[in-house]
Amino acid sequence: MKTFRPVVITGQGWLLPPGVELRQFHPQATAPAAEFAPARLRDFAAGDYVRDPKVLRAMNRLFQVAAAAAVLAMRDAGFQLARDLTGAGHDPARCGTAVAMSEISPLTQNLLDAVIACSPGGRFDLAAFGEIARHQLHPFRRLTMLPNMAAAHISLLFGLQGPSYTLDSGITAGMQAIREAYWAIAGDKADLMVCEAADSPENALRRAATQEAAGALVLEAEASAQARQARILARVRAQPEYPCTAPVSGSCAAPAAGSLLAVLASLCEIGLDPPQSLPGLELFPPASTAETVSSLTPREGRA
Amino acid sequence: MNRVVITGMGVISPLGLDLETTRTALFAGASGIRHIRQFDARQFPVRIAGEVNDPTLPDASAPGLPRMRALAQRAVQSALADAGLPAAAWDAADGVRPDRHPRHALAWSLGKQSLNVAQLADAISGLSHPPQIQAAGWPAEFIQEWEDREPAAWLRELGQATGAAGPAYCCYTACASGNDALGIGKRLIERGEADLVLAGAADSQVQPLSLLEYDLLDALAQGEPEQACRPFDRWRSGFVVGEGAAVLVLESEEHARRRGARLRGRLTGYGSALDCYGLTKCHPEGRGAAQAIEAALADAGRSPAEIGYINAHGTGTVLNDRAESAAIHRVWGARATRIPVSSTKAMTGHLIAAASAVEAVLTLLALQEKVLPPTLNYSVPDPECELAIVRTVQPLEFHIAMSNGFGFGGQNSALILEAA
Repeated sequence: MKTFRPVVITGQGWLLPPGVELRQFHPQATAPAAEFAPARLRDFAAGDYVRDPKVLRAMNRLFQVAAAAAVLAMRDAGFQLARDLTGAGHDPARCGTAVAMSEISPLTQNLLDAVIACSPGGRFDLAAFGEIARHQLHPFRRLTMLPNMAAAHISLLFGLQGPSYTLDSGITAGMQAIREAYWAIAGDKADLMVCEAADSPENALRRAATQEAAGALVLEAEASAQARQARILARVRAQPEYPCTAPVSGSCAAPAAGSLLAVLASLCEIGLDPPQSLPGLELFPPASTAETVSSLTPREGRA
Repeated sequence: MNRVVITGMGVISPLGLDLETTRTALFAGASGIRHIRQFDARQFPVRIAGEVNDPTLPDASAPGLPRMRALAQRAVQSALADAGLPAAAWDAADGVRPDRHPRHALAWSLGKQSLNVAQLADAISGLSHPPQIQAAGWPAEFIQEWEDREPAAWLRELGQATGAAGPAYCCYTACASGNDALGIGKRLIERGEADLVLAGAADSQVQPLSLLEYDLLDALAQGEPEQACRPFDRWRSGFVVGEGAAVLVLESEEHARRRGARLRGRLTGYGSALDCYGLTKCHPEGRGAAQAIEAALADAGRSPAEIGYINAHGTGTVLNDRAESAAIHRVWGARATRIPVSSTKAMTGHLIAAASAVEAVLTLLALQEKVLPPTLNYSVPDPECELAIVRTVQPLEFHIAMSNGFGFGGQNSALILEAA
């Protein structure tokens, strides 16, 4: 009988505006009802999290929000830079990513401009488009449409070379990202995984307004976390049964991030008995009670 | 851990419309690369592609069922038939309601949908205001059509059509997607979350905007269709975009034996790793690729010496083929120049998200027939790709093979496939 390694959460990162979504996930942290959030994060400055302007230019807004949440979670886990991973005894080849993403909108202003320029009198000219768009579209346009680029950016920020999953299953993707990260560690394929989910209205093409939000967790093998004397926020265990074709703790307003944010909200409640249980996942208090529940309240929301 | 067997295969590709025609073309060394037929590309910067040659399929500009989903449906239907399972009921109006199977799961990857630029131009001409990049201001049907094509919509449709009511995953890891979908399917069975998984991938990027985007990345080969893609050849210049879909029916061995299913092969190893080097360029020494290969070998409990054949990612780009060669040398050492390697992309084109799923099927066909597929257009060896490239179809007694899939963003994945 194969035994699975214990997995713990050592870092969390939030990017949540005040409003309906936050109240849904964690009532105590809700802003006054009158302050319903705008769809975008207020006062978000990507440069606060990703310093290199060249790197920032290669990211669309969604990737910037995703990277910011990952940076917050990794900082929370005690990792400021890529070299901190190896300094803490981690092998980068055993540190990976599991990211939930929604479908990314292909509409960009320069694409619209190119299409309009190729439609004189309302008649679209494909040959002209081939010529004009070649000069107008960004050479890396394709890369900004690929959901796995969030994982690529996060891996480059922290030197993560291990397994990498990007899930775009819709509203269940966040929970699936956590589960795959959990199993990668429990099954001894990795020692640390950054779980990440993000949504941004700027890169979504959907009827319902998308709430801009991102959440990230750092999952580690308990043995690795203990070896580097990391603060353990919670123990986590994936439930063996995962009857999940229906939405799980998600939100249509933040379809990819919903489940992850629900887990983050549950972390705030971790001192409660019985353990928190979401469909597909169970959270337990850390073995050590040194950390108080109050220390786990959301502290990175940028209202 | 449950052992994972393959009990059904379905494929539709530029080489053929089903498993049999694909098998025939594969071992005949045929090329599926042609001048583009779906739209008039004579004045377009990209003129060649690996298209599925079936006029009954909707083309990229057709309304309604998008071409990628139609390809996926065909592959699913073939795989179900091959596995001896009931056919999918795509149309709810036909009154067929499949039984609900909570232990049947889905593990998929769908290519990123592109905008049809002609339809976009039509939509813009109907607006009474300047177009915006946000959804607001666009006709509801324009947005609805986009949402209907999201991966979650496909999972819902496929679950309803087949009765699969267990976990439903869709992943996207660029050109490594197919392998990752199959790998996730493998894990679902191993962990006991499902008894049977319909795992596969579909992609159709033979559309003006997508082709232009790949062209802007300087990734595409040009020239005469059948000679354009030259994996591992010294004068290689890029890949040719292709389209298609492939599906494997994965089952726990116990479940397959209990229902008396015929075993097509085994999926014993899966590995994933990131290059962590750049967004477009792969690690020059194949670091991430080698890690994925080693992870797959470890997962299968196999040593490099046990692998009889490698179906390479082999896109035909200068950097990919060099990095993949370096990775194979890293893992196999002195044996790297003796293990047979071929890239089937010279025949099929690069099917992007569906590439490694289709190549897994081609690898299984090679395992079944004990015949190695060729690498078309390989004529001048590249000293930086010193490998035993299979030039022509050749018989070989082997039982274990590896299939690689690498992608933009430094994604790397590898599968170990074994004969039943």
